[in-house]
Order: sequence, then C-alpha cells, then structure tokens
Amino acid sequence: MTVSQLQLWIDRLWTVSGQRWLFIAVSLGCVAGASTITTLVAGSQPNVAIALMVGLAVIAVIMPDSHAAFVVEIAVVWQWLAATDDATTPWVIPFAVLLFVFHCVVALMAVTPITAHVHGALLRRWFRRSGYVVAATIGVWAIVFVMDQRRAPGSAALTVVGFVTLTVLILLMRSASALPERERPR
Amino acid sequence: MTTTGDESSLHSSGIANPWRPTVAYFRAAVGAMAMIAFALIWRRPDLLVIATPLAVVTAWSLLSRPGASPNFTDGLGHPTIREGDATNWHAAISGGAELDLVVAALDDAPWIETVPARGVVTGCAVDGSANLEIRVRSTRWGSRPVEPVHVLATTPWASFRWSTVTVRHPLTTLPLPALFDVNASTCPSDGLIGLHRSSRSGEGNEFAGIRPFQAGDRLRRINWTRSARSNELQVNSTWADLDTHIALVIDATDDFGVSEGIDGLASSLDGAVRAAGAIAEHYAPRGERVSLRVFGTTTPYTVLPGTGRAQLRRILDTLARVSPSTLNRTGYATPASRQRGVIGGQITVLLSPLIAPEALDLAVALGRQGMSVIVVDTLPDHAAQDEDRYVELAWRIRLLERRREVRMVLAAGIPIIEWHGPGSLDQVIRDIAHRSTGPRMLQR
Repeated sequence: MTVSQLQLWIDRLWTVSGQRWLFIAVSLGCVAGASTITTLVAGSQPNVAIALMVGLAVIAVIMPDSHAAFVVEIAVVWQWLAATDDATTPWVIPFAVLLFVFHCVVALMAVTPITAHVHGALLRRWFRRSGYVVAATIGVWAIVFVMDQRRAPGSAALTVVGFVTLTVLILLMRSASALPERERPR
Repeated sequence: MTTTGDESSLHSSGIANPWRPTVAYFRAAVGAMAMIAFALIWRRPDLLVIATPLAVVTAWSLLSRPGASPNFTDGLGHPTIREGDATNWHAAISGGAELDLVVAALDDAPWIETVPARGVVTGCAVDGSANLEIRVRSTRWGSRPVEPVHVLATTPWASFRWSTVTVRHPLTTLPLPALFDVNASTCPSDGLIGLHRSSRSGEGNEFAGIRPFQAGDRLRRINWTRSARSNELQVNSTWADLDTHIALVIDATDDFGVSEGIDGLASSLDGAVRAAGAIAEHYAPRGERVSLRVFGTTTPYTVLPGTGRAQLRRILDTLARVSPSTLNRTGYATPASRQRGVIGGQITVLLSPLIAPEALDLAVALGRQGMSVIVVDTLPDHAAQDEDRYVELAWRIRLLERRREVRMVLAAGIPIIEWHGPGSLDQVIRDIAHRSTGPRMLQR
C-alpha cells in the first residue's frame, strides 16, 4: 500500500456514516459476546481466543462482501464445539442469536456503501423477521432439550434418513440457487 | 429549485446485471448445511440449535428467490438549471414482491452537491416497488453530466442482489449573472426599440438632420421647403430604428484562480462568464441588441446580435459551454473589422484576465478602428497567491509586466475597469457618450 493509498483509506474513514459505525460495533460486540459465552459455559477465564475472534471480526467488517465473515462464524462455532460438552445448555440460544445477528449485520453492510444510512423502515422489517428466526431457534432448542430429557436411544435408521434428507435439501438448494439458464454469464 | 420529473424524462438504465446470490447467502446456506451434517455425525444437538437461524434464513431466501430482473427507470428533473439551484435525480424500481432493499450511490463530481450527503440513498421496497431520489445541486456554471448512479437491489436477508449503473444524464448549469445595473446611457433617447438609439443613421422615425439627396433616398423623405430654398434636393435623415449593440467578447484562453462554485472563490473565467451574463441580462430584455463571441476555446462560440429573452437564453446557454483549452485554441484570427454584426457594435465589452497578449492586442486593434471598447479585468485577487514561493514570485513578475501592458492600453484611450457589480460600467459609458459627440480620428 502506497502512502497515497493509505491517505485515501484514512480519508474514507471520515466519510463512514454514524449508523455504519453502529453496525460495526454491533458486529464486533456479537462476536465478542458469543466467544465470551463459550468461555463462561466452559468455566474458563476469558483468554486470547476472544481477542482472536474479535480480530477476525474486524477483518470481516472491513471486508463485509468477502468470505471473512464465514471464517469468523466457523472459528466461533469451532470454539464452542471444542470448549463445551453440555449439548443442551440454554446458553446455546444467546450464542446462536449473537451469531445470527453478526451474520445479518455483515450481510447488510455488504450491500450498502460505508456512507449509507439505511432506512429506518427497513431496519424495523429486519428486526421483525429476526424475531421469527429467534422464535424458531428457541423452538428447536426446546425440542432438543425435551428429547434429551427423555433420553431417547440413538437410531441408525433415523440417522440415515436424516442424512438422506440433508443430501436432498442440499441438492434442491443448489439447483435453486444457481442462476437460470438465460441469465448465466457466457 | 427542487423539481419533480415527468414520466417523459424517464428512461431505462445503462448496464444491468441479473440477480445473483450474495456472499451472505453462501455463508448462511453452507454454514447451516455443514453444521447440521456435523450435528448428525458428532451427535451434537446444540449444533442444530446454532444452525437453525442460518437454516431459516436459507429457506426464507430460497422461497423469496427472484425470477426476472426488475423494471428500472430513472431520470433527471430538469436538465437545465441556474448556478446554486438543484434538481432531482429520481428512480423507480419495481419487480416481484421479493424486492426488499434498494440502494443508489451517485459518484462524486466537482461542483456537485447532493442531498443526502455523499450521494447515497437507501429505499425500503413496499409491495415490490421502491422510489429513490437524490437532490443534485450544481454550484458552478457549465455543461457537466450527472455522474452514473450505481443502483443495487436485494431480496430479504440480502441473499440475492441485482445491480445496474445508470447512464450519464446531461445537466447544463447556466451562469448566475452577478448583480448589475447601468444608470449611464451612451446616446440618451426615449422611445424606439431599446432605451438607447442606434448610432447609425438609416431608415427610422427619429429625426437626425437634413442632408443632400442621394440615390436610393425615398421620395417621401424629401424636404420640399428646404429644397426650394437651396435649389437642391434635400432630404430628412433619420436615426435607424435599431438599438444599442452591446458586443460581449470573452477571453477564455486561460482560467486563473480557484473556482469554488457559487458559494466560494471565483476564477477569472467565473468572473468573466458571470459578468457577461449580468450585462446580457441587463440589456437584452430591454430591447437592446447583445452579441457574444468567445475566443481561446477549442470551439469558437459566437452568438449573433439579437434582443429579448430568447437572445438572453442563447447567450447564457453559450456561456455555459465555455471551457478554456490549451490545445487547438481558437484565436482571434479574423480581423475585427470583418466581424460583421458581432464586433463593431456601439459598445464592445471585452472581459479578460489580461494575461494573454491576444486580449490586449484585440482591445487596441478595436480601439484604433474607432470602436468604443471597454475592457473588464476579471483576474481575481487570489490568482497570484500560491504555496510555492517560486510560483508566487513568477506571478509577481508577470503582474508587473501586466501592469506595464495595461498602462499602454490605457494610453491608447481604452478604459480598463475592475468588475464590481452594479455601476461598474457607468463612468466609462458616460465617458464614451461624451467622447462620441466630439471629433474622432480613425486609423484605417
């Protein structure tokens, strides 16, 4: 990076809207929060892992239209898997919600310029939708919790059915996500 | 001037890209599937809970997946505005019900201010359609198109995006004439077409004098009483039914100083264009003939003499196209005496920073042909200020030379004034009127 490029980059910082700074703060706060929850559930002291996660999140908010946010999500989930053994802990709900909020805010940042001020009506719409998603998350946790309480034995047949269903879903999703034939770049 | 555009000014955009899945969609879909798979393999139901929001987002995105590209139209409210006025860039986008967020970003351009600041506006689609509006204010005269606007539309959760870049919309900013008024008159006379009578005798109504008959004189002009006394045919001569001709000449060879638009510092060309606009706006609507000639530009600009509001509009339109050029300049090659209808009017007002020698040569040449010439010095005070002391020294030397050249022009009887708005030309016009009544020596 040359000096002029650095100067341009610094100049751009002054043009960032207040709302954008709020989005950045929320994104970093979500990652820090999710990592802190993992640490607390694991019963250990806050360590360098949180700093590492926040560092990755900083890269993600600087480049929201890249796969950096995906790396952050993988890292945060990996930390959860490695640190926690209790699969039915209620702490998984705020963890999942924080990860979801991070995902949404970075997605919104990816499609808006740094100087943009997103319309309030749109934010309210996203809040409303997010409420449904959070409700679904709580519902899934409740099912998992109830099934764990019943101590239902494992079933190989159900596992196979689950994998087949998952494979079918992936194939359906892939075909639905691809561009229509007439719109594919040639 | 805030306006709303009509439908006729709307047109489709330039380059449009089809709907494409975003990185966020990829993140949600792959993340959800991977976590569900790991949950099954490692028997970690908590991963199912973590994957649920992303899975819901993925499913929601697939259900609201857009089909065809949306309809998009955009336009500019008014293609012609005055300096300091504003117009609106407006766009309408409509597609399926899946349309969620629309963002438009206007590229930065000099002398263009936008509301919202930075030229970025977001819209929330309702029932599959959204309207966007950016207020565009032009702070300097000129013909500059509005830069392309980058438009982006997304579906819920920003999972699919559609983008386009609009074409440049032409925008002409007419100079805002400076305040100007003249109380002096070259040849005071009431009536006729303009407020000031023509300097030429010819067909008209106002009595000018009695002279001997010449071939071509109308019989009804013969003054029989005088002819009987003198034993020679005498006719009544009249002043032509023409008005005062103000010939504006702009030296656009260079533009000195900083131009910060209507709200800030003005360059030499800003001063010349605004002063010319002010003079034209004062004289043309009052019935006086005004013409314009610009030299020093790549393309020569000439407006033939005319009068009225339409002539004023022609002059302002031409002034808006003026831009200095260092290559292929149009000099004042044609001798001034041959510029029929353009140069050679009652008063020639030459607006120049007096740095290029062509302007001073032209002023002296016109003066020697017996024409009334007023030179308006448009060099701004800040032009000679520079952070580089060597540049500043060079300017001081050039200004000393310029002072000497100006003295020579003044010695040739050509007035040079500084533009300061109303009354700028009063004294010199009085002097010209006074001088025109006396004998004059012409150099032919």
